[in-house]
Amino acid sequence: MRGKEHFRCSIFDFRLPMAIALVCFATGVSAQTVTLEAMLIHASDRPAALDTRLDRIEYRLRRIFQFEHYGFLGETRTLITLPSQSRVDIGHGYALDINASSRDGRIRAEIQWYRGGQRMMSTSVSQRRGVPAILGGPPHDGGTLILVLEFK
Amino acid sequence: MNRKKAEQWLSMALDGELSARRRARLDAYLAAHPELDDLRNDWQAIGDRYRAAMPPCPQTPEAAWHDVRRAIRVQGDLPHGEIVTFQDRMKWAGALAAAFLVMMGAWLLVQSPDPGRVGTIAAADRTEVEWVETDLPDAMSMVYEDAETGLTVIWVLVHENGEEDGHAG
Repeated sequence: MRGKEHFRCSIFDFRLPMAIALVCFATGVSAQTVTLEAMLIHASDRPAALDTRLDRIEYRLRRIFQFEHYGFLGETRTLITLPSQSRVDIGHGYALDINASSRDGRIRAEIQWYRGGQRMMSTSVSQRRGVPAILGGPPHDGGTLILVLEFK
Repeated sequence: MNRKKAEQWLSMALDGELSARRRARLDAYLAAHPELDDLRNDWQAIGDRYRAAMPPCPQTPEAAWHDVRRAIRVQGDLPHGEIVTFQDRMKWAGALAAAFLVMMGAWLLVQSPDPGRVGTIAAADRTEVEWVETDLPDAMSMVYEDAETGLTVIWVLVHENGEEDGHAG
């Protein structure tokens, strides 16, 4: 009987919920999780079929660039805990090194874009969630690479 | 009731437009004033002669509708011009529905994006670039913010065989 009472007392004691709340609060303060979406696109003037996987971004790209065709090369989604450093393989021999942190409601990310062992581009950006950044320019297979990076 | 009112009601009674309650009051008045009986007989005779002289004609839908309205007015014992129809009762609902539609239209107008600005990113939400470098040979980097879409473009211009990639911007 004493054991049962002790157990009941522990469960309904205010200290247990408070401890759980504190753990949750501390976890929320110290770490923030975001999803990084990286879409690799091949832009060229060679004829290519429309790809529905580009529906949400192609109309924007056409306003910015003058390429005739846009092809989907690949897309990755990576869960990132802020702050942290991650390496993301985006396919076709390309990879990203990302050092991301959260600041003032934005995500500050230092991004290094590699082709094999060669670093093609290094940049530091401050992004809002849901607002993509467009990286690009490296030549690829007779066209040009475009990388759409978005934190969600 | 005075004589003028009695004559008016008498005319309405001969036309079948007097309500039962008023008809009873008129009958009571005529019983107390027998001199009006002659007037009623005269008017009745005039009406009979007039109707006898009229060629029979089929009732038009409009006339039938007027008969229905007259019957309702007499049955309901309501003064002329105060018929409350279903449409009258539902006027408030119609006004409410119209107001709702106007409000919905205004809300949709406010919520719907300008077709010319679809996909535009607010200035406060745009991506800020601190720096950019490239290790590619014969290449230079640039940052471009597209005013129309609000997207930030970080680009490396690579010179291939002396030619520059001119698709950006």
